[in-house]
Amino acid sequence: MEHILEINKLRKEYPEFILDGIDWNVPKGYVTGLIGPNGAGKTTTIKLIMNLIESDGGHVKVFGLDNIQNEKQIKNKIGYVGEEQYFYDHKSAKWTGEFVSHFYDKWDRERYQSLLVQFEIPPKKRIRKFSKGMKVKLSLAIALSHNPEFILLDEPTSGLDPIIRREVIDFLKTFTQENGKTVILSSHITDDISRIADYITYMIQGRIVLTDSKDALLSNWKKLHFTPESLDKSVVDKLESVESHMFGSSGLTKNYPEIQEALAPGLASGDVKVESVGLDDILIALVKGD
Amino acid sequence: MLRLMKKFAFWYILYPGLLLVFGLPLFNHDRLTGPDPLSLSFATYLAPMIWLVLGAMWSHEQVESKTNGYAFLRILPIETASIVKAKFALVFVAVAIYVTGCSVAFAFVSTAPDYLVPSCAYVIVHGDICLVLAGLLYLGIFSFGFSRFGKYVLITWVLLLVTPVPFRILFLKPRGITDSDIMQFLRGPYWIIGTLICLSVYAILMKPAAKKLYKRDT
Repeated sequence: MEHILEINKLRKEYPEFILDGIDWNVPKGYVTGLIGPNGAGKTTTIKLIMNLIESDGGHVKVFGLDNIQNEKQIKNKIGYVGEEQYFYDHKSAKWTGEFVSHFYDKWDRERYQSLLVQFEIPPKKRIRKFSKGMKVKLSLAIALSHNPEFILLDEPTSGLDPIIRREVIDFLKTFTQENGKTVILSSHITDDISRIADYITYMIQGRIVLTDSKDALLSNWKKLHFTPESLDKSVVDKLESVESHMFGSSGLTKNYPEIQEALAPGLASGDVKVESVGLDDILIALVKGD
Repeated sequence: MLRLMKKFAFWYILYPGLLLVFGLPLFNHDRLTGPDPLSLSFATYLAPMIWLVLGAMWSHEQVESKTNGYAFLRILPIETASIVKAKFALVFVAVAIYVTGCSVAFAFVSTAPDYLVPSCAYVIVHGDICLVLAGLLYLGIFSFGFSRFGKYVLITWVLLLVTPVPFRILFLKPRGITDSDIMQFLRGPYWIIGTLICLSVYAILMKPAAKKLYKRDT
């Protein structure tokens, strides 16, 4: 599989946080969701990819090129939406598009204008009068108007109301499906990622703890509800986040296909029930188990 | 770089505009009182106004700081060195335009060509100092950020604007140094050597300034 991004032993130290020498490869042509709780290091990782902050070690290669030595060339092909949106906010969206267009080789003026219309962004209004949602949409319009090969979205829906959030995610879903772009979408809102991601990477306390395709994750991770006597201790010991309650116990397995055979008698008798999990259940289990 | 210069140019257009507002009455005054054969009044009045370029620089950096302009530029495919070059180039262009404008004005009003070169040199020397100061102030802003260092730009600017008069009264006058003496001094080659040195220093300052800006923003 071809990788658009290769991260090797990437390290960044802050007084209260360390990005702990992460290795991470992102496949080309897919949407990868980067999930983690607040302070996990998602934004730090994305800023390091964009060379917006200086690393304390390790290497980042984007399109096979070192991201520091080829910064300009790489940024020319990346669409980036940060957690915070920065613009010359005393200027308008029209002015901003005009200004930015000069720095990208493949700026598509028509696409930018059509995105402004689609997002209902007033082209002549000063950006400082925009709502948070409008700023995110403007940021997206800029990020997508130069035909980027790789799109980096760092918590783009953070702080947006559910309607705008859904609108942004739906737009991204359609856009990525139609154009086959490589996308990294970082968020702690797993619902957003679940809707569009092909691959999922979990990040906790500055480390990448799990990365796999979404389908594999959702088929491997299941929630089991069982009575104490219905499962072998060897199976129960391998479960994560085991809880006991008045109707029995429950726990998460990350190897469902492997234990499916052992569960068969319990499933047949009705003493064991299997429930699909969401990406947030996996996140919680990983955080608890970390 | 030209695109960036265009973007940054506003303040550097505004301030020369102010210079014109200050300068025009002087021309008018001269026409009313008769031509100044030495073009001294022009040189001594107009030269210190070049410090307004530092005011333009301060205003521009204040806006960049308020609007997080550097954070916006960092996202775009622009090298930090290009941003710094554009800023340095604009200050240089503003100074060059002002010096050229003054020189043309001197040539126009002066009836004593003998004094034309020192009059122009007087403004050029101010331009040289202005460039070196601008380079150093940029280095300071890029090292410490505008919020911490911007006030020093302002203080430098205000000091430069208000000190010439006390300097004349307290330093030059007691020593019997007149404007004519200064002009006489400026006939020599020293100001040319000084200009070359200042331009070199200014150009050299661009590299550490770009390094500091890159370091600050990453």
